[in-house]
Amino acid sequence: MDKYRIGNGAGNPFSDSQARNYSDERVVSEFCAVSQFWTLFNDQHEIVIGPRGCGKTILLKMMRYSLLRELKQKRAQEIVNAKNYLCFYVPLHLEFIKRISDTTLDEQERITWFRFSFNCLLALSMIIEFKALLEDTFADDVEQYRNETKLTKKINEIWNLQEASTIHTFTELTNEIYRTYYNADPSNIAAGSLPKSFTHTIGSCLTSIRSCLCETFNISPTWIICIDEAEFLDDCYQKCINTAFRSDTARIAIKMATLPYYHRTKKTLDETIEVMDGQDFKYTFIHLQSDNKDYKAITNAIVHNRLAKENIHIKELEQFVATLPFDRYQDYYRKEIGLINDESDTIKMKILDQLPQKTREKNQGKKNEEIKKPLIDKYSPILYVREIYKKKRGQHIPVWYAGANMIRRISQGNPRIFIRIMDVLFECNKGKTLPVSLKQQHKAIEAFAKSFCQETEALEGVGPEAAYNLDKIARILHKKTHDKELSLVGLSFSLDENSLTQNSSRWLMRSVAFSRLFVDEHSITAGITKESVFELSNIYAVHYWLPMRAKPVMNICLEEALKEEYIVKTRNSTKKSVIVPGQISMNL
Amino acid sequence: MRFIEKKWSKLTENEYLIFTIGYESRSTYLYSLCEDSRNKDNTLVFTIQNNQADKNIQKRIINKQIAPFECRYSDYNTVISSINQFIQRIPDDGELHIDYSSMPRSWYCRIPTMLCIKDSIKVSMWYSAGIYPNKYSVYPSAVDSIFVFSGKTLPSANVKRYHIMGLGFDAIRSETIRSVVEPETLICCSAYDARNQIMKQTINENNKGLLQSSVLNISVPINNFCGIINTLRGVINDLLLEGAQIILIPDGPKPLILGMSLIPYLTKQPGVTCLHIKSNEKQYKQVLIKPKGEIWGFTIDNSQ
Repeated sequence: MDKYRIGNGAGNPFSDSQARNYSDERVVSEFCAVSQFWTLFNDQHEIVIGPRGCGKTILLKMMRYSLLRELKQKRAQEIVNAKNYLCFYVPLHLEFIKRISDTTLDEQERITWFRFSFNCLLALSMIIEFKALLEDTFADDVEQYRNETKLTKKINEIWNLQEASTIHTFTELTNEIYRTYYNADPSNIAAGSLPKSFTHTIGSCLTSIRSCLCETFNISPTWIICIDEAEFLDDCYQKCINTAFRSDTARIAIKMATLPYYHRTKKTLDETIEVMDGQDFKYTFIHLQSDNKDYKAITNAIVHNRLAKENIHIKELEQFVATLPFDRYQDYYRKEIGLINDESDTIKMKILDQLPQKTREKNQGKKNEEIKKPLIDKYSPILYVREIYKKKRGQHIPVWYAGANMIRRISQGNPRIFIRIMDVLFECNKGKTLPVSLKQQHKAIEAFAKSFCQETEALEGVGPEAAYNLDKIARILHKKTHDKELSLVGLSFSLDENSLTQNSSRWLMRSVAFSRLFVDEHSITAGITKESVFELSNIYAVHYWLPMRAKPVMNICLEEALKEEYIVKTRNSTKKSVIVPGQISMNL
Repeated sequence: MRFIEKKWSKLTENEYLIFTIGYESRSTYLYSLCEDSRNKDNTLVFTIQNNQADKNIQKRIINKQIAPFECRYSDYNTVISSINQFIQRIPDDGELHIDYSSMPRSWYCRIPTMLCIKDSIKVSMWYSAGIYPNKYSVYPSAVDSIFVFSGKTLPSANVKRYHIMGLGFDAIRSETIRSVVEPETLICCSAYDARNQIMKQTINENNKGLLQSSVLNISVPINNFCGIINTLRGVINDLLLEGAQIILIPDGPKPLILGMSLIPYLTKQPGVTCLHIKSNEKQYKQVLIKPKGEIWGFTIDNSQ
């Protein structure tokens, strides 16, 4: 492999991690079609749920006809050629939604205003796709122009944006939509002041022109409206979308992307009717497993595409970061501890040595094959973390949080988190040759984890509470992990009834939405209950030196203070430090 | 609307003053410099509920028969209405001075555009510089919500958006804003006194992550409001020529917040929006700012 060096002044191709920033060309070049992407092309309304950075935006953007046609993949070309599905991307940006939310209108006027605004946005998105369709349907420029004129004239007549027939092109139609929106005054929604085709229902600007579109392009598709950033919608507007789920929209499907817990209501505009999961819509969860081949393909594609811009031509993550052969936990443990050859007996002894006496006595003398699954496989990941944590002293940088698998594991199926880790790795390796050394990786990843945990304080509305409580939970798990005796411990926990208050639900939900915690799908759709099992993110596991495994589930009472143990050095003690018995602990 | 730089000079009895007493001692600094010329006819004082710090100065104000108006942070309509009532008494050639050093942004950012005042009356806004702790951990941080303050935008899938974020010492707060807003193309803007390089270094150090991921970093002079406006307008005009949409998220020192908040009004272009941040009042930590001894200000000229 060629030796690549990152120049000292090199721009960092990983500094930009938001799919919303990306130009269409970039979206196409970085897109890696996972199996779940193709399943979105259907006739069903779906609420697409996933934490920030999991890939919802890029999936919805790529569904657009204008981008899909650029994808040189057989399946993409099949969908494009068949034209059975035509998708529009509608981004409900914060500044757009909050502007239409912050009014003194009554509920009915708000609904009318939202429908109007949404349809303006949808209309703009539709025009982008019509242009692409026109190019592909009519090869001849003259034919394209002729049909564009005919279509825009027809659309203008139906939408009734402008009385005189002065609209001949999509550009003029776009300008007219902007003019209509910017001139509309929400405090003056008198009857008839806004175009009816834009105020009737969500998507009515599409339904009103559907037949002339089908005639012009000779198609009969399912129209898919991909609504992104729906987390900014307040309850009133969510009801509007829910009403659209229930309506007979005849081959219009809505895919609405939002964060966990942000689809707050199932009510519709009719107070007596609610939408039902499984009937009116379906929840689709975007969450890749870190060891999934789709995720491996995504991470490799990101590495390959981004580094190509810096003239570093590598195909996969394993070429960017140093990785031990087999890339398993035990490989890094062996390297760090200095074990060579067959270490299974050594590890077995260490595990037995650190287990509680009863368990140790029960298993001592048993053959390796007998205790491999119930003991060695179960306890070894915990043992590794304990042992390496003990080695972490002073200036010594252990080699543990390193290797391609570890990086994927820490990012936990979230492309944005993966890019952020890569950003840190790239930055710390400027001026050096690839691959990034194991120690450099460990150092950078620890720094990233620390920063990520600190940023929890920044979560909107509940940041300080979330940071405080997650820190408490993590320290409880840390204490159990690094206690005198080896015990089964993981990242999973449940909260006791006293800890589950309305307040705590808020920070728990926000933590899930922003990848600090994971929870089962049922707890997302049905709400948090005392049965809900949470899992701290692997990034927290890095910062607090916890084993990256799920079970067992530890029941935690947040009300109980975390008793700190104080290490006190006494002058005459032969030991370096001793815990003073009976010492008063401060409740934190 | 135009702005003209103005140098502070002690107010006479014929000049009218509006200010707010807050928990910071700098909130009464300007008043203390011209206390002897103040009376119930030429002074309007607001206090923020539960936030009064200096009881002595309040007593002195009351002794002058100046009755402070107690308001909450959210009472900006009441505040503006009270100000507009107060300014009825100002003669045609009078001068009005507004010290916004301790006002919430929901008040002072609205003042220039909502004052019902004759063009002949000179209006000046003043900011008393404070001594700020550099360590960001002492700052309020917690953000409750973000809302649109001014401007209107109709987004589109193929229109580029620029986010211009004001930076201050509170890095966690800036990260919160970033995590909520998720800037597309980020431009960072910081304001500092060119004579105080420590302030600049601290802002840069605290916001290193944001600065690294921005496409452009703008610095503006905190003590020159016209400079703030001109620089911002220049950048925004260039971006608008690209056909982009711009979202301003003011934060940091008050002159920068005020300048950024006025931009949509000044440019009068669709596609330019300003978002404001509401602090989480339950988690709010009071940062006690002492006056530095410098006062910076400008006059608003509505004649054009």
